Amino acid sequence: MSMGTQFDEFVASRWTRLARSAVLMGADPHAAEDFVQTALAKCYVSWDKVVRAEDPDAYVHRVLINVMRDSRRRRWWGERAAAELPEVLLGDRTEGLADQDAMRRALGCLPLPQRQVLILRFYVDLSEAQTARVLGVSPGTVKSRAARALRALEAHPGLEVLTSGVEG
Amino acid sequence: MSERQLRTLLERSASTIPTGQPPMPMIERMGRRRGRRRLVGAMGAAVCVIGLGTTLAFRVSSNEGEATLTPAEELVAIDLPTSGWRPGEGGDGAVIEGVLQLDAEGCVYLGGLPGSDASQRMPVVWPAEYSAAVVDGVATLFDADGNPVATEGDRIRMGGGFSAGVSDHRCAAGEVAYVQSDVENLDD
Repeated sequence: MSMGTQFDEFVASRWTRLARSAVLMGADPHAAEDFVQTALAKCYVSWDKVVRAEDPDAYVHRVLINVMRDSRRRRWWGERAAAELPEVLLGDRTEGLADQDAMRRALGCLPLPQRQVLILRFYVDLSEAQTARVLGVSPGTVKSRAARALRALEAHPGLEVLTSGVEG
Repeated sequence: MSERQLRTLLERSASTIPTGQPPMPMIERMGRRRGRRRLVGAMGAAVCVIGLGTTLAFRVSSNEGEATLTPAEELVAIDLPTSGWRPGEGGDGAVIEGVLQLDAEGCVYLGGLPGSDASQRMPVVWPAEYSAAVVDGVATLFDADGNPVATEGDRIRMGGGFSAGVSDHRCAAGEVAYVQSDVENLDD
């Protein structure tokens, strides 16, 4: 299979999950797609390195997290004043939106390192060791951050109702 | 909350996040541009080692007193108007943005962003020690450290101000954008 085809297939199969990971890690949906696009363009340049990596998914997520981190370092002129305020999403429009809001609000209360661990471990489905490599920390740190994050979510009032309706 | 419950809730929440189709051509174009820039960086470093101005690097010819640039090898220097402004110094707060362009006279300028007036043309005075070169037919802008920051066709954004008469450079006549920040590449 040619490099181009391999890359295209990878992107087609991972695009949605990568974009949603970025949103769950705190990006707004439009910015998330830009971050993923940039991360994949970076991977395109060194695609041979990505496929040689032990785990291409972990590799691409590491690039994505770096892109998101770099974007937060942008200078003040990276933010533009808007003539109109963005539309406010009402939490009670539908049950699905309420759930989505509750979960994302709860994630938003966590420190970023904890949120990243939760998303990589339980949404992207990486192992502790893979997550540790992506974040550049030890597996022990991943374990303790995940435990702290889970405890914080348990105590989050907005998630009580949601958790009770999900099989444990 | 169990790990299983968390997985279910994350999956449920994620499924409500709208996503579009991957913009494959854009991703590959960005990727190729990055690769080219990396190559340019390596070439730039090599040129620095050898020494700018040696016979290996450039051949600049003259036409009726005006410098015009003729490709010698694959890399041709561009005469770039620069100021004495350096990162860390104070500056104006206007947003300067546009598409990096090179005209037939060898002048780098900012063209209008996609969707805006395509005929827009803004000459630019760049920070101290910025430089530019045509590499394989593509104009490339380098920062003060010699790192490639943008190539022709890239959308870029900077801070600074607009003024007239700040430079007597032939490429900075009339009102110019006076850059007082690093260059942010919006296509990077």
